[in-house]
Amino acid sequence: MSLAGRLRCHLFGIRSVHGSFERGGLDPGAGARLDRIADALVVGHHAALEAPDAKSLHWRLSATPRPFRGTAYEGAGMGLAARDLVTPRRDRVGEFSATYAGPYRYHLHVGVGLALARRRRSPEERLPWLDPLLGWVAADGYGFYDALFRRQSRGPLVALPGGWTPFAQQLFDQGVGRALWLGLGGDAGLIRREVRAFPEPRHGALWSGLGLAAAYAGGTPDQLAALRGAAPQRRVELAVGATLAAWSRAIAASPVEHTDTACRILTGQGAATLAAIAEATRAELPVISPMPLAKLWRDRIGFRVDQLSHPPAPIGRGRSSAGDTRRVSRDGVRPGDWCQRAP
Amino acid sequence: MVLRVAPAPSALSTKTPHLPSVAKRVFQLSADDFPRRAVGCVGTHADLDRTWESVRPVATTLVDAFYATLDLRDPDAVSDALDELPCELRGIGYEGAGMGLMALDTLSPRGWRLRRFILGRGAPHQCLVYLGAGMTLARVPGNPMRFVNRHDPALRWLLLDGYGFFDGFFRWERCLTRPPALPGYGPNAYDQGVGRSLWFLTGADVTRIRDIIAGFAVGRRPDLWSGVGLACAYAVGVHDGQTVAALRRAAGPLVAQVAVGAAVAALFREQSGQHAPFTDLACSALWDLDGYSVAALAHEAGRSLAHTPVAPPSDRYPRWRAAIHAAWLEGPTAPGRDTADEPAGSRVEASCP
Repeated sequence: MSLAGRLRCHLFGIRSVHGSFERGGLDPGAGARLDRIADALVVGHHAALEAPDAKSLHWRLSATPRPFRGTAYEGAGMGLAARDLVTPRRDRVGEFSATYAGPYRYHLHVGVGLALARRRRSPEERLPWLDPLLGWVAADGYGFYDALFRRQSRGPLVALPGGWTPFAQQLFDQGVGRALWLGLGGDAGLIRREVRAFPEPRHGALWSGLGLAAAYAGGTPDQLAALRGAAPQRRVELAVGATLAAWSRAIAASPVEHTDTACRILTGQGAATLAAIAEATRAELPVISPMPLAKLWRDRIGFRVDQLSHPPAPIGRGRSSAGDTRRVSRDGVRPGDWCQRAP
Repeated sequence: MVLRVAPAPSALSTKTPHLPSVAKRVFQLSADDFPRRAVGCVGTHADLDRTWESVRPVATTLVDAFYATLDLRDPDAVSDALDELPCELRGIGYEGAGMGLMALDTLSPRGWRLRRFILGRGAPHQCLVYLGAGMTLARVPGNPMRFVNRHDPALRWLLLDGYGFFDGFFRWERCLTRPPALPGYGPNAYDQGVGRSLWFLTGADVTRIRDIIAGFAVGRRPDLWSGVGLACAYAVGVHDGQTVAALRRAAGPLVAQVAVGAAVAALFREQSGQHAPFTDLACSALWDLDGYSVAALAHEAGRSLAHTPVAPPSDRYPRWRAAIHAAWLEGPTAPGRDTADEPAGSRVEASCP
């Protein structure tokens, strides 16, 4: 390891993440179960801090076992972003994303969020340097980090960062939801109690995160069925999360069995079906949109997934609320809805 | 056409009270200057006053919104003030707000008011906001790219479009020779802005536009015509059916570029949800479709760009414009079709839906 690499590891390195589970709010046993995930994250992170260039980083990450490679890339995103933040003229994340990150670009951008959270830098400020669609998941990584390392002793587990747009906050909560699944060991009862401590408008995104983590990391069939039963009214949000997990597994060409099983239990559809939905909606995204592309994508996934389980109602029973005569596009999203004030 | 500005809440005036006054001194702007600029570029002509009267509301709205933004500084307060504007001028108001926010951003080291505005309530008008912000860049010394690179990779070219517009309008001699150091698609975007400025400088006089563009290098003409097309489909009050027909004839083989500009303008309108009859008129003359259909077609052209989940999209904006161009060539209004069926020049009044 070069001297500069060692210095960087000393400055930005992670000693251990295991301790974070033993402090209040999360299940102490989770640390042991998450050993391998945490290890992959740290390996990727340190590889990014040490590696002199993108190519050698790529080789080191390729040595990790396939099911954990996504997590290693997440760690790498964290390391590269940490270096970018101190040298504003360099764009290592962008370079790596354009060259070697390929199928793991989703994970890479989640990792960027972890680094931003450590430095308390808003992901939205960083967006112009990130991928136009996947860059938004940095906010998800930020939320995940806060749920692990910045928990509150009273009230909801994690406070929303101020000054963010509502969509970024939604993704933040998705990250918190992911941390809840991993941190509470998939216990639906505990999860439901923890979610109830959050204000109601945040619940949807939390359930998306729970669905994402449950489908990505898996769980026992009983746990998954209990998760689905715990929030019948959040079925669509749960399914959106599962769909994103299935998509990221499919793009990375690492279809693992537990993701497929989890998708079937949570949504009634196989991982391949869900991934195909996500990919088809992604390919249809426009170039210019007043809505962040990532939000458009999520909303459309939600609409399509909802349609799968509920075929469209017969004509005459529209999906929009009564009296609303504004134009509704084919995915049920009204233009301008997301950023306008109430009339 | 005065922009009503609510008195700034005291919370806004706590930090850096000197910033607006500095900004105002650095970025002086007056709507009454505009006719003199036009004389400098295209020479004096008999109907200058009449032309100016039609452009005046646009110019005053732009300048008022710019100064109001410097006073208010807070993106949300700016949106509140802009929403008071009549709907056909609101887009122009947002353009002025973009100028103001960019001016504030360039004066503070980590300024990102403009980004916050675009992520928030400025989002439906983001394209216009970028065009306005680019006009400020023209007055910032040094390389404009250091501010351009802080923005969305696809839409940052609109900043350079605004930059070109400013040079075209206020520094005509300079835009005859391009400004140095514009990378990538920059020079093209810059010329699109210069083309837009021609529409206003000449008071939408097609013959003059044609003569001026003929004086430019051949390689720059397509983008100049594209800019003219955008202005003619977007601008307020300087438009009738015959003008577009004349424009088609004047552009000759480059009419496809005019159509691309009009399609982009239609998309701007559709995005902000502010329908304007003159946009429809331009679209029906150039595309044989109404504004919304052309906007839908422009969206569709963007979808057909080859996407791949494993590589970041690059050059989205130029490729998107090229896709619209290709769509026009396949459409019913491509060359060979006669252009004599335009509605006989009834002047169209703008109205809010």
